[in-house]
Amino acid sequence: MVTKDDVIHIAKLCDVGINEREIAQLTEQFSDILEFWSTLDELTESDESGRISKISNIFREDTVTPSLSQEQALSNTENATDGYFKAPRVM
Amino acid sequence: MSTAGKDVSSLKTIIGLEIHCQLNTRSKLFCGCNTDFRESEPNTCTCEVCLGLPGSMPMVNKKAIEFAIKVGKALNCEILETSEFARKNYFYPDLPKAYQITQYDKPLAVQGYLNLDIEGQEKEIRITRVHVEEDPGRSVHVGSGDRARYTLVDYNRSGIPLIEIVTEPDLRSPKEARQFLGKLRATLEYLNVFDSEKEGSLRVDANISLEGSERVEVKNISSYKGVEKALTYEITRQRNMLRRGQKITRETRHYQETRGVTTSARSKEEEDDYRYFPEPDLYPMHVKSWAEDIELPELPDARRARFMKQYGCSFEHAKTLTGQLKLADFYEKVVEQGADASLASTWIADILLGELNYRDMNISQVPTPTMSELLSLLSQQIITDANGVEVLRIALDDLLTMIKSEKIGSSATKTPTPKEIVSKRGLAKVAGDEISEMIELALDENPQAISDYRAGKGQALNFLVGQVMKLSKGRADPGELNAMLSAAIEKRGL
Amino acid sequence: MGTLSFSLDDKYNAFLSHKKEIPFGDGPLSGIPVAIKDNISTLDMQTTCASQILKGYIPPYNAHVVDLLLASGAAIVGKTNMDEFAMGTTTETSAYTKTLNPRDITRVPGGSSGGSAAAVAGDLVPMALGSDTGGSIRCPASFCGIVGLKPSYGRVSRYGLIAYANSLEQIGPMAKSVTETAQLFSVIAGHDPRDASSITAPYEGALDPELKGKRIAVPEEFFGAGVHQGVSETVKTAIDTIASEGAEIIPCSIPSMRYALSAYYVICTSEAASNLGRFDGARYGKALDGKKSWHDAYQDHRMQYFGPEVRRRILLGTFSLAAGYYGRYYHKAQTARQMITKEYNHILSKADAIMGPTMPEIAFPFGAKNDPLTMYQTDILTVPANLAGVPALSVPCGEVDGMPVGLQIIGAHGDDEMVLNLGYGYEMVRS
Repeated sequence: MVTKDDVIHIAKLCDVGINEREIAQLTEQFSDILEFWSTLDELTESDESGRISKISNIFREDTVTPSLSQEQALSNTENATDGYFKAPRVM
Repeated sequence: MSTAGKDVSSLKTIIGLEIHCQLNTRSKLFCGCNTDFRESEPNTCTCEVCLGLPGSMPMVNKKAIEFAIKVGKALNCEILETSEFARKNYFYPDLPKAYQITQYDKPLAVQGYLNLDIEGQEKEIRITRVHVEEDPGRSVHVGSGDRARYTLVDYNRSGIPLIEIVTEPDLRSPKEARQFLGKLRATLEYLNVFDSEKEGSLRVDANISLEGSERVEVKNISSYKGVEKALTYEITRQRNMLRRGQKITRETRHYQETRGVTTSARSKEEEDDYRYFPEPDLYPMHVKSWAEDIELPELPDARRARFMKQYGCSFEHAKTLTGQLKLADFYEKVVEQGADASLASTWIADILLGELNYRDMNISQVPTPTMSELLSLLSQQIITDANGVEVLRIALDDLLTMIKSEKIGSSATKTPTPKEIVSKRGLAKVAGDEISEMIELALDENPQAISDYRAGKGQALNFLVGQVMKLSKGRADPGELNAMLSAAIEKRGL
Repeated sequence: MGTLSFSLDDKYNAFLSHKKEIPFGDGPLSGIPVAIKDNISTLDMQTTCASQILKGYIPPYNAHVVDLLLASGAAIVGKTNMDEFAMGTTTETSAYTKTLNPRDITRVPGGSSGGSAAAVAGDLVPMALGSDTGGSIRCPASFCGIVGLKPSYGRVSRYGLIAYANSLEQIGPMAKSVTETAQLFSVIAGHDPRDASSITAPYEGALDPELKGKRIAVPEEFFGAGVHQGVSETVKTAIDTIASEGAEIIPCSIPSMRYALSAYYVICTSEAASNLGRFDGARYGKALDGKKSWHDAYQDHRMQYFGPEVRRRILLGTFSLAAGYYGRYYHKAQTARQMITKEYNHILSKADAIMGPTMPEIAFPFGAKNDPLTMYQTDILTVPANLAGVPALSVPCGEVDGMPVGLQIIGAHGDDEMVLNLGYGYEMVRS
């Protein structure tokens, strides 16, 4: 039901690395899981949203509140330069 | 099918635009961080929400929705009964949550239009949808192209409220696209939801094709002039391809402002799979009835009509003056300060604007009393039109100098008023006696011209007018001179 | 107010980090040591979600519930172990340590709030906070023999809870008795303007043990073939005890239970796949390898620092949402969710509560379930309450083979009071 190519495509789509050994295992597991999920096919999709709560129009006022300091914002990275976050180059 | 040799120049151009504008709320779309970040150091206007720190949650800024509703209404859209936020998932360093909170299948407003005046004809450009979304952060790529070493990211911009406006492919030329953007920008300014002077506050992506061919997306256009240039380049590129018998492929291209060209980014054969789903931390908005109660201010077309009626402006002048909110306000203020409405409309629309463009200045840098005083001098015929232009130029140059020096920290000094300029430089119109003297002097010095004139060479009179103007240092009125010179010459002949 | 000295002999590996000296203020919980699951953000205390990818992450802000606890005078002594990113039923997927069940250290403590449950059951602290997305408070409470409450959705702020599945989860209290559980709940329940799902419904804390006249619905699906016989019988005995105090027992059926597990896993993996995209090392957590390009670095980073279960769920969630694949499942799961909610609400409009076992079995030995699908199926009795957003309590009701069994009490949305009252009432009459 689920093929190796499906698994590879999905892994690329969500940028999750998987190794060769895992591909075979995952293919099998996913086939089982998706087979299990197929009970949902008994249902006709409705237009209803999945929201349980009926609340709506939840807003906040347009007021400015204090921001983190630059130091706090950068506190969890070792890769900061001149106040900027640093990431690998995007090709 | 080969198109080589076909009449490529007659193929219709089809353009649709996707415009993103930053709404000028005080705080960001989903958190209370300040939106006024441009002068700030990087990453100083952020919090756990706009940094996307784990555990943070968004809360919708009501003002942003109010602004979006105003835009929807101004664009004659239908405000949807139920509107929802959705997640658009993709991975990029400037997107801290790895998804952008935007609107997908339930936007705020749909199916509107904006009317353009194209050479006296009204043309309706249809608006597909208007929705709200958050801006990502700003990436700076260090090193270029193949040798890009790393990316620096500043999240001050992350979470700024954006409105996205999508048009139907109703535009038929790059010029029309620019006109559309001009009208849209003016509308947004009138609504007071957008500050066009902020850098990067308006971004445009365009979809452009020639009839019968695939469409190309052009991204990364960030100025009005850029739009016309980018689209002109692209259309030319596409026409040339067709003339060479090549097929146009569907792709995304980037506009490189400095080089004035579009370059290929990637092929757009597959739709990106953003795996949209409703944002689970936010709730639906039912704002249709709220929207009904929201009153819009006077919009450009209405103001244009009012200017024509109230001030007697011509259609063209009214269109120009109302084309920018601040310009329209400037005009009305100047008239309020006592200037003649008709004179003001000519001088502001036809002359001031040109002088401002030339100096890369904008209307908010000009104090209204400067203009009204100048107009008063002109009305009273204290100076000639020519010298009026001269005074205006001097005044603007003075202002520019002051602005530049303010920028480097020196304190503002008041620049001279038009009256002061006239008096200091002796630009007042010459009195009648003085002109007569100058006329006699010019005639004395140019007997040949007198003969030529009597021989029927009309040019000679122009020459003499020029001579008197020189003598008067521009303070004589050329219109009046024609008559005065003819009379003086006649008198000599007697 | 004062300072608590907390000396810890963590023989069950309940904690990932803890403090030795904790200043505390005045208030209803003044001086009481409380442990917090490590997916709840604590300012200046490492918060890892038991994952390598967040090693060293110190949030620059407190979760709302943490602020509330501090204001109540509680002494927050440490962060407890859990399944990585709350994805699990046994706490075995933690990237740091293996938490043991204090009742039998060869068996799992349950999950994903296994550390909090072990800390309470092992007498290390009297109270702890956990989080429950598909049973993660109730399961370890049941397996370790303590009390745990998953509140009504929206009653406790999620601001600061590192999200796994936003539309399903709640932070909740865990303690040895219903009284203490209720006490902790009264501190954390209430509106938070930063959480759009937060409702205004504080819990006043007055418990009423009256069982007479209460209507208890007992669904047949809760005692079906997948439930261990010993567990079934123990729970039935407990319900009989309640009946003998004058409660009315109403047998019923919930046909949509058939879709519950699938709906749950489609929804939670979809939300999780999206929620976990942000862990790219650029702003916090382990840093990316600067020698690679962005996408390569990002992929390798996630392969290295996310455990296999987390990656599996991200992939599943991506399957659920991806166009052209099983994209339709997300919508069908939402339909199923509406059905289940309607059925639960219908029953709860005619009964005060639903009762049944919390888990289909007792705590099993480590490594007993190594196939994902088998593991997912142990959630069958707990996930419906998350789907419907209703409150659910687990209270110990006996033993099978020396291991605790939990009685699950499920109420209508907003009626956590009823659920706690019934739990309290049962505690008083339980032999």
